[in-house]
Amino acid sequence: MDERALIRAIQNGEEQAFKQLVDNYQLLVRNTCLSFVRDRYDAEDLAQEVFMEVFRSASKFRGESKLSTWIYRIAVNKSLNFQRDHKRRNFFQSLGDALFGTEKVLEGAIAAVEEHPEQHMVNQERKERIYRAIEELPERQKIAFSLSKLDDLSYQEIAEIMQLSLSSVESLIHRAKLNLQKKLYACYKKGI
Amino acid sequence: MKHRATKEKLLFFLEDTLSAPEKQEVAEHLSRCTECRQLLEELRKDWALLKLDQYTENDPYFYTRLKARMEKPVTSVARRVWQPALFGVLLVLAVSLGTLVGKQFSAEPVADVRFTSELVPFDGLQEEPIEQFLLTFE
Ligand SMILES: [Zn+2]
Repeated sequence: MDERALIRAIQNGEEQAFKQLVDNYQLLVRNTCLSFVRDRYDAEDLAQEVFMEVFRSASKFRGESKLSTWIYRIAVNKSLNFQRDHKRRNFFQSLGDALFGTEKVLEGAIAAVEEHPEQHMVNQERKERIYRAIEELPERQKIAFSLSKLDDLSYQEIAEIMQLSLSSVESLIHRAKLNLQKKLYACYKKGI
Repeated sequence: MKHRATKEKLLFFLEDTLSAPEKQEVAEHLSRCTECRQLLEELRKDWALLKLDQYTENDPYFYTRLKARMEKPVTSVARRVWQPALFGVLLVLAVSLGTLVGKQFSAEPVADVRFTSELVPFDGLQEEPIEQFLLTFE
């Protein structure tokens, strides 16, 4: 079944067609969500929500872009929304920690230092550090960089998803890399 | 090439996206600069970690879980708003009820005092001391 027929069948409420679409795109969607949302359970939840949205708005798909481009757009939007909500939740949580749980936080930090006394940076910590740096990038740089570096999309595909020119995408990714390099250098200097 | 200019190009050197002459210049600087070599090594370690967690194949149960979730009755926005609101109302009710009951209990001793003090006048013993009673009896 080609893309148009598939989406038409979904619009007609054919469950088999929807299953087909999920099978075709679940790897793409799960990975895109995971690029933005590092927790696997959250990413899984989010991937489900992306398909629920695809199902709900199948009737709005006009076939002006490729089906994958449309699905990527939904996945990116949902992921960014999740990040925003998460940041808000984290803010209140750290506020709570600051008010009530400071000792616990300090104990944790001390334990972490004691476990890895020298520059023996375990991979998990490296990973957290680099993904935090990516998350802190300006939004459009973050999207372009993640789709390129983590999801392996071509600049052309990213341009279509973000509805930007090719040169804008190139420039966003270049700036993202310069920013990341700078952030990481700062971390190396501090030895974090 | 100078140290600062090289530092800015290390990530692109790592990704092999520099032009041939730039690449050559960076390589030359690296052969003389320990700090840049260290930075490049750190970047290489970090960069290698990207993408490691990505999935490589379909999850056979993904659709089943998705379907189950889609068939679950939706927690509507209205319900999500009403539940905390209802909880709030119940809380207020409980608190006012508690206050009321509390007042009842704390009010009782006061009522007692008034009750006894009203009773006192009818206490014959106080009105008529025992001596007087004995006297009148005689
Ligand atoms: Zn140098």
